[in-house]
Amino acid sequence: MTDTSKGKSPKEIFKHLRDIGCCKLCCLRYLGERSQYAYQNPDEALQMKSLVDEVEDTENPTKLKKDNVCTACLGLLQENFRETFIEKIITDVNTADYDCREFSCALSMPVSFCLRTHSFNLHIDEVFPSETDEPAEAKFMSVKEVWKWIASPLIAKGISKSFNPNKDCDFSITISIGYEDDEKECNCLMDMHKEIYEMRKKQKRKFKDCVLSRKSVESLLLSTDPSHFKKFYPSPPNIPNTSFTCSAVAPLHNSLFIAGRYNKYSRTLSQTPWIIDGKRLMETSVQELLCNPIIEISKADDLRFASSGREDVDVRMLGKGRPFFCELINPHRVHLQPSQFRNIEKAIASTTKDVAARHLQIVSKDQVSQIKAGEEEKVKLYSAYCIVSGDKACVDWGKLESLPPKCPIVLQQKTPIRVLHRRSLATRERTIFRLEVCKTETEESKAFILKMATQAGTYIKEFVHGDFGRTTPSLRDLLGTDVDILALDVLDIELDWPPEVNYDEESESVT
Amino acid sequence: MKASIVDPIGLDVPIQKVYPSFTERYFQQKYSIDVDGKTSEDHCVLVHSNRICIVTLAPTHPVIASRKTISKVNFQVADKTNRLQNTVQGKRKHGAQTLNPMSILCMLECEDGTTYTVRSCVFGKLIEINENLVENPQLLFDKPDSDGYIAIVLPNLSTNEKFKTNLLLKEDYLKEVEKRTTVNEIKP
Ligand SMILES: [Zn+2]
Repeated sequence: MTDTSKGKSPKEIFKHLRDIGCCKLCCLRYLGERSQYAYQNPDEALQMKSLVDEVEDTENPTKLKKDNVCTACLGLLQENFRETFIEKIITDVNTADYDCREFSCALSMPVSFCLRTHSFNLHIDEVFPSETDEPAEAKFMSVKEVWKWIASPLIAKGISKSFNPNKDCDFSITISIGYEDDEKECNCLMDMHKEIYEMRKKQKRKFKDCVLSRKSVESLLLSTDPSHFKKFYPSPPNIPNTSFTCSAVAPLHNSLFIAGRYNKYSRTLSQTPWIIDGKRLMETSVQELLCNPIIEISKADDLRFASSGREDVDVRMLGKGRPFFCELINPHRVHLQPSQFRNIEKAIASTTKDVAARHLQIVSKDQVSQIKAGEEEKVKLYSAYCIVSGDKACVDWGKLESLPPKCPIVLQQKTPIRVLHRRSLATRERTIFRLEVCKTETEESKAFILKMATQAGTYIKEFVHGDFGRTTPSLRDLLGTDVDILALDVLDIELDWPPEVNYDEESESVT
Repeated sequence: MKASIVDPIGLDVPIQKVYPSFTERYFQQKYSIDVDGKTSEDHCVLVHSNRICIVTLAPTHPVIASRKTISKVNFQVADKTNRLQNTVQGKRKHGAQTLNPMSILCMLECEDGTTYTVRSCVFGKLIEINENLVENPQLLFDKPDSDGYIAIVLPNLSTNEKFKTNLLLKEDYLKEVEKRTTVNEIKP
């Protein structure tokens, strides 16, 4: 150690640090040590720096003030406190049982720790002035950084995951550090920055409690004049009465997105749970039938369901099905194999005849945004079972057959009366691209089937009956007779999303 | 995995001799009789299952019953209130004209010189007025319970509840109408 301090030898610095209550690792920090190895082998490192005289006492801890909780790190870097702490983290994470292979971790420190660190840094700058203008917080390793160096290999081993120090890690363990005297030590802030607390008191709405966040305290301290600071907080800081505590270990995995296409064969099943005033109006829903097995297998905390549009309760979703995805919140299982997805599909098929899922797969966040982008352009194919509803009405096939050549037919659709209570009123232009008229397979002579390809967002029922003349032209207008729609199927949604699963290939690769 | 066998569309639809109209299928017909104390000036309110109300004339209203020709539907109901200028915004229908049961929706001017006042019958927000009646007033006579509707109203449930906005169910309306004809028959 040469250049971090003027005049003072490392020995002098080390002695002073020990005197004011620093643990070995914090001494290394303020001696400017920057190698992970040194922190993992502190005694060796101190000997290398010829601080061995002082270090010999490590065998005999009573001589130095070693019993105290380190004034710089609250014990986080002290071996005796450290071990049980890391053990707790390992136990908690293992109990939560995640299958991901990497982890990152973050320590959330109590606010008083900012004060303590700031006070300590001011003291170091004063006692061992630097040749450079670099402030202490930039020059020395922080408690958090050193803690991660020491703890991460141990945690990695304990939870059998590799440590990923980068921001892109999907699995993070957030550890909240508590400290008994936190509030007491923070109280000085109210006197140190009276004006800010006064202001906050007045703006009660904005600042519900007068508590400052860690971030705001940090920036506040940097702009506080050191001499003013020292009037309210001792520098160096007092030796703490108690060590830190571990107030929470919170493992969290980023969302996992699972996509697929679903069919709905029931006319009495809603897409999402239908709950009014806390009362369930239907036993189940497409969402629940699809997602319950997915939640189960991924062991996620929660789930957000989304699909490319939705069909009414009484409409079937046939053909290739409707693209959907679910966002799994905090999934504990993320390494899901194609065979597991096929099993989910089979499980759904065996629990219900009303819903089927196909092409289940994991998709990326970027892919998820494509489903939204496709919403506007996609063409939808429908089949409608219609009847002419006048007293003596009968189907005029000639007139019906004259309709397909009129396509594309552009509609002006006012928001249908049936959804007007929850949607805004507007007139929207929608296009019927193709029409096809077919005979029914029923005995009803007043009935016919109309197949159509329409622009996304077209209200089909209203196109048929006209909604009191609020959709023009309607099938009623075009035929010149009252016509009603008694059943509707979605035959296809022309959106290639998510990528199709090749079922043949997959089953081959299994055998 | 085999796709499930799907029934052809329509198989589950019961065959009926006469199919109910769109109005009958989705709306409950309710009535307000002798509106504003004027005998036989009966109004009809079609209440959708989503609670939205369509205000129109009942079949017993003189315009319909006496087969009058409507020459004009006047929506300028007060110096400063024109129902055609109603605009609504957003899901909550901000900016809508507010209505109480006695609010005038329009005046009907008939070729025989008679005029009739159509009222809201419910508390609520005016969502939409039937603009087609401007060009084609006779639509109200031809199709009072569908395309000839007068207004779409988002009712204020609590106010209607509080003031017991009394709309008659169809059976009660028919009974009242029945009484009226018997009285008339006795008179001469
Ligand atoms: Zn320390």
